[in-house]
Amino acid sequence: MMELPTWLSSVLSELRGKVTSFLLFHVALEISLALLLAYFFLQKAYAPGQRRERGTPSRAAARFALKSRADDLTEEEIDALCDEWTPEALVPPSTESAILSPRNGASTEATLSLVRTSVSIALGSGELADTETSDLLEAPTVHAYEPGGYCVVQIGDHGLKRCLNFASANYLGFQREPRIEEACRRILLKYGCGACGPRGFYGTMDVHLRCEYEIAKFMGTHEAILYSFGSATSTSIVNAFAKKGDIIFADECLHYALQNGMQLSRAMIVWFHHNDPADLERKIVAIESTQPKSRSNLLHRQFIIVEGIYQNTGMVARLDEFAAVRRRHSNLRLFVDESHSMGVLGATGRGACEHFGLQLGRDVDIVVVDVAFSLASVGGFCVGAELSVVDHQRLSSAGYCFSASQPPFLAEAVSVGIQLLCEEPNRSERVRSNAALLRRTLREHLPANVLVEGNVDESPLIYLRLSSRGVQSLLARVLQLVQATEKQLRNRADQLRSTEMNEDGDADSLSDSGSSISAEATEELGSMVTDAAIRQINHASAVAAAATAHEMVIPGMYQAGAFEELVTERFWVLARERLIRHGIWASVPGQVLTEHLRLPPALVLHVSASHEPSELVQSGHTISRVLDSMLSAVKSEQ
Amino acid sequence: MATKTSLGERQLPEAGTVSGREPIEAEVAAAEELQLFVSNRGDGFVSYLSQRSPTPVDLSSLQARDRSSEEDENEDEDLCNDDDELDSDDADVFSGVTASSAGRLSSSPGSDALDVTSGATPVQKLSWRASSGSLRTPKTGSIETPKHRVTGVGSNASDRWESERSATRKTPMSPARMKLATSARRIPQRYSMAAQYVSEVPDEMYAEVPLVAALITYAMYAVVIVLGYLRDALSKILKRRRYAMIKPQGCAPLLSDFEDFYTRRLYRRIEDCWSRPICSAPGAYIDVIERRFRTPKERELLLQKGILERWATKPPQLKPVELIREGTNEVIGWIPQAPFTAALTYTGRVKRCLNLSSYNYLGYGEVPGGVDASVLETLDRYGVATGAARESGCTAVLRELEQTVARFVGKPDAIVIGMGFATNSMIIPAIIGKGGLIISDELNHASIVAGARSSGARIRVFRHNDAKDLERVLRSAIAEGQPRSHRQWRRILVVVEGIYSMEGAICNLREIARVTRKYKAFLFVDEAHSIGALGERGRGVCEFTGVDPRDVDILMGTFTKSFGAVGGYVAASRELVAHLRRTAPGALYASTMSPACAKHILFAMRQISGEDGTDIGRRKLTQLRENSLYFRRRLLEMGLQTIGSTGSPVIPIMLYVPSVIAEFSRECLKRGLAVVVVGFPATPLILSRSRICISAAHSREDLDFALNVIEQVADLLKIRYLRK
Ligand SMILES: Cc1ncc(COP(=O)(O)O)c(C=O)c1O
Repeated sequence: MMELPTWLSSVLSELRGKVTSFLLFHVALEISLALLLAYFFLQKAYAPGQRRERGTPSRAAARFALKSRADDLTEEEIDALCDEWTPEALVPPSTESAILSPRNGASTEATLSLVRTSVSIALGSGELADTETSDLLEAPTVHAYEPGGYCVVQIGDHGLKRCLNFASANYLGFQREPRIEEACRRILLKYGCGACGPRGFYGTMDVHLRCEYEIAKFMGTHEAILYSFGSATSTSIVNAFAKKGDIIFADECLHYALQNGMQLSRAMIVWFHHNDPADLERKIVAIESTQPKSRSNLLHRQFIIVEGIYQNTGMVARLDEFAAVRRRHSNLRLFVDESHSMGVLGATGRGACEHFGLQLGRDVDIVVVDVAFSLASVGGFCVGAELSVVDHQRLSSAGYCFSASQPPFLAEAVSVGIQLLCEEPNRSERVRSNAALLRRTLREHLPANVLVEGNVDESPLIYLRLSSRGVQSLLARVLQLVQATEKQLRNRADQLRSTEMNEDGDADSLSDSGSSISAEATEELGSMVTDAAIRQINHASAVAAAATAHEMVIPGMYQAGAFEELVTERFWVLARERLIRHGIWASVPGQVLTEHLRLPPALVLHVSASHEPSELVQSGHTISRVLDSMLSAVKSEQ
Repeated sequence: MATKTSLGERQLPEAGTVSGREPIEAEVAAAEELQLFVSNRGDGFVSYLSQRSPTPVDLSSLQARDRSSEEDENEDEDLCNDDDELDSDDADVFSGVTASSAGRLSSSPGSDALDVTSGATPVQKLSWRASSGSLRTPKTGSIETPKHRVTGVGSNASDRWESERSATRKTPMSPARMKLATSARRIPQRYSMAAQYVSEVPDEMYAEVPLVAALITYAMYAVVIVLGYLRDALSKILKRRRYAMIKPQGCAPLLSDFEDFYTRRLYRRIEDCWSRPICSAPGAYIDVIERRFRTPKERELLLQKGILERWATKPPQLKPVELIREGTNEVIGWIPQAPFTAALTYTGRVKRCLNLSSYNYLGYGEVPGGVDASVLETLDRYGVATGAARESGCTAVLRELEQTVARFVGKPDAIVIGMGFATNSMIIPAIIGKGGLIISDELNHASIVAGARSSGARIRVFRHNDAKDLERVLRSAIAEGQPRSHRQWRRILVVVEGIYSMEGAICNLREIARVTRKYKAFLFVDEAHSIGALGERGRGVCEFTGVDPRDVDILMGTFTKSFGAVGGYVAASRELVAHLRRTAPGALYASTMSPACAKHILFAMRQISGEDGTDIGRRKLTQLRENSLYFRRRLLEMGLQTIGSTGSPVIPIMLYVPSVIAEFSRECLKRGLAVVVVGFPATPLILSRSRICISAAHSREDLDFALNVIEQVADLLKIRYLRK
């Protein structure tokens, strides 16, 4: 049992015996010490803004300046350059302009409002026109979350509406769980709200330690690490382990935080097709073949990054096959983000790994979870098989070290949530059966042009997207409307211009008479679009600009796919508003513009264990009916 | 002996059977030896927990503690046998002197005109001066240290700086400082890191590394590194496996060699100075849980064959540690055993310490009665969290908070994110992108660096808080254009912080804003530490330096500090905020703030701005200001080298030597004082320091107690570098 100390003492006695070698050791130690000292003295110690002559570029600046043009210029020339330089505005003229790449800012705005209005009209605004044509882009406001998966929502300035909540990822129904709230209340009274410091600097509370212990016990490891925010968790962790020279094999649909972490890590990123282990294997083989098979291979780390249930598509990862790929090749670590699968998949709700019978350490190396979803708190955690996974993060994960720790009551919510999940594993069973029920209902009743995305019925994250046929017919109708409006507006503008030219011979006054144009245009179009729709486009400048610039912008948008995106997003936003009126609240997640991937806009439903099956069936019918009426309005007009 | 086992090869039991397995003999022995507790009762731990009733909240003690912050502020019980002049009661007497001396010093005739723009009424200014008047006024002859030239712009703000500076500079310590300054000139340049910061800020103080400290530091690192490598080599020869080495077979090590080495051989030695757990609210006093290093015997046990591997995925049931308040038998809670891989374990003793470490500037980390009643109401209405991003998780409280924040900082609109770090890292990419340039202060926070790097914009740095250098960088950047293509930059964003949290330096915002505007760049100010903590009305660095918030394009801040909650905001023009709501990753993907937290911030913000109809907020602001000035002055008098700006509630004390930082922290803790110490890599190698965060919750007696302790420890460790 005490094998090692014996070893150690025997070796030490041996050493002690050999005086000569001991002396040698001493001499060697002193020499190396002296050398090191010399090294440190000769080194320029790092200090921010080391003393420099004024005017010499800082080290960092020197690194960036490839060829310093400024050095060849006189002060006057630099002054002139500085005077000349005009920056772009801090805010681009319109949000969409980033995807539209407009040739003219104002015309984009106008075109946008025209397109939006046209979508409303195409979908048959009817008696709802009033709100639908106002700017719906501002998110609805939640006024309360109620037990049973309900919430009270408000759109714009309109009244409150009690809705069945499909917008919160409240999978286990912990959002209004009295036991969790009771625990949080206790902690709030004892510890106050925030922790007022990072974990390293007295921001660690007993609550956090208990929570980490609960998590570790639940996930079957020795230690877990708790973060104060979900999206900072995955970003920081990827960035803490992957370094320059490492290789990351990443699913192309990973959520933003993971992609951001990979980008920050400067590792080489190899994308594989969404949820496609075969493609992953091809990519791995391709990489392997380019690299010499030697021991130096082991100098860089390789990670496979997937999600248990993909946040962007609701698909359940084929984790068993990913793990098999990992087994077949050496030097691979499997990193799984279980944010949406934790608490949902697996017999006892331990996530996709449990679902596929995989084990931390044997098949999976690092697991990250955002606790905002199943555990209805704010924060994230990570567990790993290797003993250094958690330890390392405590010193070198930016989101952990350089941020205040999680408010203790949120940590307590996680602990109690996990205890509850252990006590009532049927919650995760319920959310799975609920999800399957809603998916089945939707598939049966939805119009043919709306697809329910996903590969597994039990996934409670349901994406509804328009089929390409649906998108095409919607686009055709909207384009038709836009063009008709456009033509009339242009005619009207021409008419006005010519009469004005006749009257006072000054074409420039067109812009001044913008208000009269819009008044005219309103009359002119009264038969075709509703009053409310006109309200949307009756900015004088917008109408005039749209009339002249539409031809330039619309084809451009159409080619870039941006038009399609704009129209489909508008379609789903309108669908969301109508569903709220029918007492159903779903979400239409926005997307960050990444070059890497853009997914078509969608309506997202999060099924919860607290939804009653009867409510789900009914909701499925309502959703189908509303979408059907919207799409048939498109069809009937064509 | 140690056979090459790895997690990959190991035969692991199937998931279902894990709990039923009999523990192996050696394991049991080891666990018993480690005073752990292997339960055969299935989930004995859970049943243990359920026996334990929730710790009742001791409201009376909370209130008693808070009283010290709110009612005692005017009491004067100067425990230190110091001059009576220090007492706040005497402030009025000296305010006149200070004000007039300030008047003398501010030479610029333009100051009145600028006063109008900064919006401060004469009354407000007067009260500011009255508060700074609690400083000792010059008694001994004033000696100007040559390094701190005054090049103020003659403004309201520089008036303030002037008055405080004159008070600080002319302390009796000045002769010592002068001596140091002269001796600093004699030491080789590379150790004199002071002069590198010849600054525009009138009164900022910088580290002047004493030669001895520098030598000791380098020698110490050398010894530790050499010994570390030797021990590594030795343990390799002896085939002593360390747990950090266990990895899946055929995989590259998870950590790079040096990272691993640094952690094991340097950090582990003084690991006990960080991450000390507490079991109370982060108020003026905290309950610190005592820890100790595991004994070599205990560590030996863990190195036995197979135990680590098995425990990694099937940890033993650990007996929880009861927390017992020092000096009593009162059990006040429990925590789980430290993970078996940890070098430290808990003794279970809990020590009440004065808290000089939390960012609890205004004392909202601990509120009378735990939290405001409105927070609990919010919890009742919304539950704990929203479980959605802003698009579908935007609660009415959040909207209210956004509007209140905008009003508070003086901007048209604001967006609130659930974490301060993520506010920077997930919003900056939506402000600027490819073709843009970010010019960042070299000491900016990690979150800003993360945001800047995610944005895809180019990054350049300028010297810390140096507007002249910023101008130089801006000029050369604009003249050069984008690298290689020399195309013009699409836009340039200058990023600075209000208070630099490791330096205690207040941003020289007036000059930086002027330069930024001159070159048509945009200005982003991270007010994480300054919002609530600076300025007459707590509106942050803009108010403090007399800059109109409209001259700063983007004001960012966090709620983890002065407001005692969590999260961050970005306040800007209506259009920009609308743009951010539509496109920033932080708005589209990150889950929204817990409504209860939002309510707590609203409560704090209303109190600070006086919207709640009480003067609690104002009193807190005054208390914080007086505390900060008092504490910094007393430290300087003591001969401790503090750096940063006068008036900043963050006060770093330079310690330099790594073993000193550990001892400083331990000795202070022993005497009932919780302080933060920081060393490499958070600071440059030899600029290790201790950082004091002053709070409005501290009473004068608290501070005197702290100063007493620091004085004792300073003598013990011989760190009065400003004294002979
Ligand atoms: C300048 C600065 N920005 C941002 C942050 C991050 O804030 P939080 O702790 O709320 O995540 C900090 C925190 O230490 C900071 O000092």
